[in-house]
Formats: sequence, structure tokens, C-alpha cells
Amino acid sequence: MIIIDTLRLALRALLRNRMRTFLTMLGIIIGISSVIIMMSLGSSLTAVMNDTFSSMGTNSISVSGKWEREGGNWRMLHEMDMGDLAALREGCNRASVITPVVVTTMPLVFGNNSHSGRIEGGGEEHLKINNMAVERGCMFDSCDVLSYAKVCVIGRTVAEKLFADGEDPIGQTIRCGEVPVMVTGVLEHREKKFGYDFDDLVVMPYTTVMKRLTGNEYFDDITITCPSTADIEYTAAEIEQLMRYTHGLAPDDPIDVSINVQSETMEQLGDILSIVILVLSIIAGISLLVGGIGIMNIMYVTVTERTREIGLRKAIGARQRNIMLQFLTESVVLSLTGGLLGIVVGLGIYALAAAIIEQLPFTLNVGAILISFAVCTAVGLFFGWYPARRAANLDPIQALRYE
Amino acid sequence: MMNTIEIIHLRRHFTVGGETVRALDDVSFSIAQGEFVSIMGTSGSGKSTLLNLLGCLDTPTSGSYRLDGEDVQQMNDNQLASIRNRKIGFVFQSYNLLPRTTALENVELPLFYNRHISPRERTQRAKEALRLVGLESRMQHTSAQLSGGQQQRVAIARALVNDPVLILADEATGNLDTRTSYEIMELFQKLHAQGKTIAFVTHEPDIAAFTTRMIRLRDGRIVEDTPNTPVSATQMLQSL
Repeated sequence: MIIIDTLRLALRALLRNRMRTFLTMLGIIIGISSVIIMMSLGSSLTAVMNDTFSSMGTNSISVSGKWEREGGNWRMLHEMDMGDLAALREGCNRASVITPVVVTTMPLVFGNNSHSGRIEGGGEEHLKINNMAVERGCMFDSCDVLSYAKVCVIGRTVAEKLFADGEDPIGQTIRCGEVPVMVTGVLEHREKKFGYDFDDLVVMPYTTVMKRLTGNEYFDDITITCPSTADIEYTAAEIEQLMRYTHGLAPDDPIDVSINVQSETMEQLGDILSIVILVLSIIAGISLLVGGIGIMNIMYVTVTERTREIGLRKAIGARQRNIMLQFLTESVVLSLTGGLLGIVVGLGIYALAAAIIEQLPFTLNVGAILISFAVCTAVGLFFGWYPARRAANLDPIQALRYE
Repeated sequence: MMNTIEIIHLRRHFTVGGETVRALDDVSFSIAQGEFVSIMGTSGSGKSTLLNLLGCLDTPTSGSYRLDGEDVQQMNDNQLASIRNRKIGFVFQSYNLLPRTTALENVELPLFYNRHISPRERTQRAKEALRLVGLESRMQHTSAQLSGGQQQRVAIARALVNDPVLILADEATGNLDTRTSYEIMELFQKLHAQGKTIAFVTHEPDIAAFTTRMIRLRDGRIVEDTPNTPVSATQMLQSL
């Protein structure tokens, strides 16, 4: 019996009981659409995450003091200082930029407007290594850094909070705490992600922040960037050596700084995300199991209903495998069609969600679609197997007499 | 002339509740090519068992059965399926047509299970068989759109389509009124005249009267095997 004939036969049998076929498929449709939604959501979140991290710079390493729990209190083992900066600048051969970062929050005032803003103190490369840029005006330079210049560039949100509509912030002097600081530039707008506003920011020379605003002698961390990801591992090892040497640690002493490689952090987060998505997909897949049992049930009903037909087919020369193939084809067509509809429904719901939720990008997860097809075929074969075997093993004499 | 069927010391025993039932007990006979034989008997006489054996749906407990020169009792299920497909045409009491399927597709059915026959040849042969039973104008009708007699004609066409060596009819007129029964018997007589070998199982003597030989079974044994001068179904129809 030719494949096309078998397929036609299966389609005809399924179309004979449209309502029953549809209800049986519904289990598969719900199962597959849930799996598709979960897996697509996973790839979207991964894409958002990668995007966010790459905007933070994947070729960078940050070195900061390490916290340790001592009794009930947390204590910092070492605070990053000028000595560390000098040692790193001296010793890191493959690094392209080495710059300290200090972060603080200060009340910002201009005229009658005030705003509590996040202040990042960095070197003149601060924007470049963080994938930021000025939209208008200019960034401070190395001279400003060396001279504790009272200059800053501000994000769009800060500009909107402090300045009236149409008022140009560039050249104006705002107050950070008690210190007047001149605005030299406005930063390019960056998209909000996970509700975080990247435009709510003031960037200043780290020297200015430390000497004039906080009076603090320590950095929050030192950021080291490399020309390529290939240098990251080498540089991280180099940093550890340098820090151990500078801090007078023996080779088996625990290191007193933490060296964070961005790409590693990203990988770890990615792993966690994949596990979460996998678990959610498996939970969604349980409904597939229920759908499969529905198929099995209806196939048993079909075999019983068509006992005489099976008897006749065997009497006129159908072999066991012909009958087996006929009913297996029917269950596979049933579950594959359900799967196809499930994919359409799942992608539809997901596209709708992506259209409504701004931060959720629509990504077509081809892997999820292929997996869905494979799973549907497997479900059809697995749950169709026993009913089909029962049909194939029927005794033609008994089957022909069945009322 | 070669015998289509040769049966020697055929036995078929069933064990029911620890008791052996001798449904067929030492039956021997042969049917020559071109014969139109009726197998008669009351229920419990063993005629259904004999029919199942003749139709290669069942295998004997002992004895030998040769169909068209082939030993059947040693065959496995697949070989039996193949023999049924190529050498036997079944006609049942209740037609056993597939529902919601056209006459043409019903007749094509046996050829589906013969991989040597192309779809084109399948349709061609099915059309030819339907023409032979006088249903060329109703090929696209489904079973529900056909009368009982027409359905049985479709079933006969289905039995003819694989050009079998033996047509095996099981109470083929049992569900039909007298006139339609005679029409069906007229068709069988026509097929017989064309050289077909037919074994017709029935419990009605007036139906058996249309055949050329009568075998009567009782309690699993042959009690009568006589040649018969057949009544003409065409004449019977005219006299109705």
C-alpha cells in the first residue's frame, strides 16, 4: 500500500468525525502552543539579556574590593585605591583602557528644580567603554580628570528634570550637593530595560567626585578593557598576579579583591535563564502528555468502531503491517496537525504579547518549531502504537462477525 | 482439468471450556476449476468453519488443503494474507462495504494491498469489474446511496477485481428479498458461465438449486455430495 493512499485514508477517517478529531487535537494544540510560547519567551529574554550586557561591554573586567563576613558583620577585605590603579596601569600589558569608577548619589539643583541623581565618576574613556556617547556638547578630557575639573555630562532624564522645555543645559552650571558643576554635554538616549532608566545619570571625572563631592579616597572598582575577548583570560590572570604582589599576599593566601569578567557573568546568567525556561517548557509539555493520552483513547475507540472494516481489510489481503501503518498514520496525522495548529496558535499569542509589551522583542525560535514537530511525531507514534497493534492483531474471523 | 481446491482428511477442532469440539471431522473433497458448488448445512454443521478454512482465514488442525496447487496449511499469517489477496474473492452476507466510500473505491480496495498494481491499473480494473456487475453508472455513489442488491453487486465486483481462482460467497443472498436474491444468483450464474469457480455457502435449498453441485454438511462431516442440474435464475425472475 502506497504512502499517499495511506495518508488519504487517514485524512478521510479523521474528517469523518470532525468534532471528535478537533477535540482530540485540542490537547496537542494547547500543549504545543504552551511549549512554543515558553521557548520563544526564553529566546526573547536571552536576546534582551545579551543586548543589555553588550551595551555594558563584554570585553571588560572589573576589579573591586572583596567583602567577607566576619561575625555578624560584612567587612571589606581591601578597598581599591590609587596604588592599585598605578600597579594595574603599570602591569597590564594587553589592556587598552584602565580606569577607576566611583558611584554616588547626590541632590542635583538648577534654579528651582531639583532631582536626586546617580553620579558616575570615571576617566575620560568612561563613555566609550560603557558603550555610551554624547549627543550634543562634549565629553570631559584627560586634562579635566587630572585637574579635578567641575564639569559633567548629563543623561536625558536629568536634563528633563532640571531644565525647562527648550532650555539648553549645555554651558549651564548645576549644583551637585554644594558644588557647582558645569554641564558640557548631553548623553545619547538609551532604551529602558527591565524598567531601569539608563538616562538618569550624571558622568563626572572620578577625581572631581572623590576630591570635591565625597572626599572618599577609594574607588568602587577599577574597570579594565581589552582590545578583544581573546585577551580577557590572560589579563584576568595578570590582574590577580598584580594584586597579590601589590597587597603582599602569599600564593596560597585567599585573594582580597574580586575580579569580575563580564562575559563570564553573562554566561552564568544565560545558564540560569536556560534552566528556568527548560523547567517552564517541561511543565508546558505535561499538557502534551495529557493530549497524547487523549489520542490513545480516541484511537482505541476508532479501532473498536472499525472492527468490521479491519476484518474485511484483513480478509481481502491486508497484512498486519498494513493495518498497523494505517492506524499509526492516523494517530501521527492527528498529532502532527494538532502540533501545526499549536505552533500557529502559540506564535500568534506570542506575537500579540510582543506587540503589546514594548520591552519584549519578537524572535522566531526555529529550534522550538522543529522540536515541536519532532515531539508531535513521537507522541503520535507512541500513543498510537498500542491501539494500532490491537487493530493489526485482530483475528479476521472474529472481526468480520463483530456487531 | 486441474482442481482448484483439494481437501484431504481435513480436521478442525476447537477447545471450548476444556472440551474438544470437532467442528470439521475428516472432510475430503475437491472442486474442479469452473465449478459452481453450494455448501449447505444448518447452523452448527461446520459450514462456517469450512468457509473460514477455504478462505484461508483459518488453518486446519490436521489434513491438507491445496488451493490452486499451493499447500495452505503450512503458511504463516503474511503468506495467508497474500494468498487471500491474490486467489480469493469474498462475498459476505452483509456486504461489508466501507461506509462513506464510493463504489469504485470499495472495489479498488483489494488492489491496494497488491504492490505490483499501479494506481492507474487499479482504477481501470475496478471500473471493469463494476461494468461486469452492471453498475458502471453508479461508480461514484457511496454505499448509503445504493440499494441492498446494488451494494451486494459492488461487493461481488470487489471479489472479482483481483481475478481470483475462487469466489467464496457466505450467505450472499441472506439479507436480500426474493427478487433481488434471484438477480444476484443470475449474476453468479453469468460469472460461472464465464468460467469462474464459485463456492457458495448457504442454508437455503432454493438458492442451492442454482448451483451445479451440492455439498451438504452435518455435524462436521459431509453427508451428501451430488451434482445438480441448475435452475436458471433468469427464468425464475421471469416467472416472478
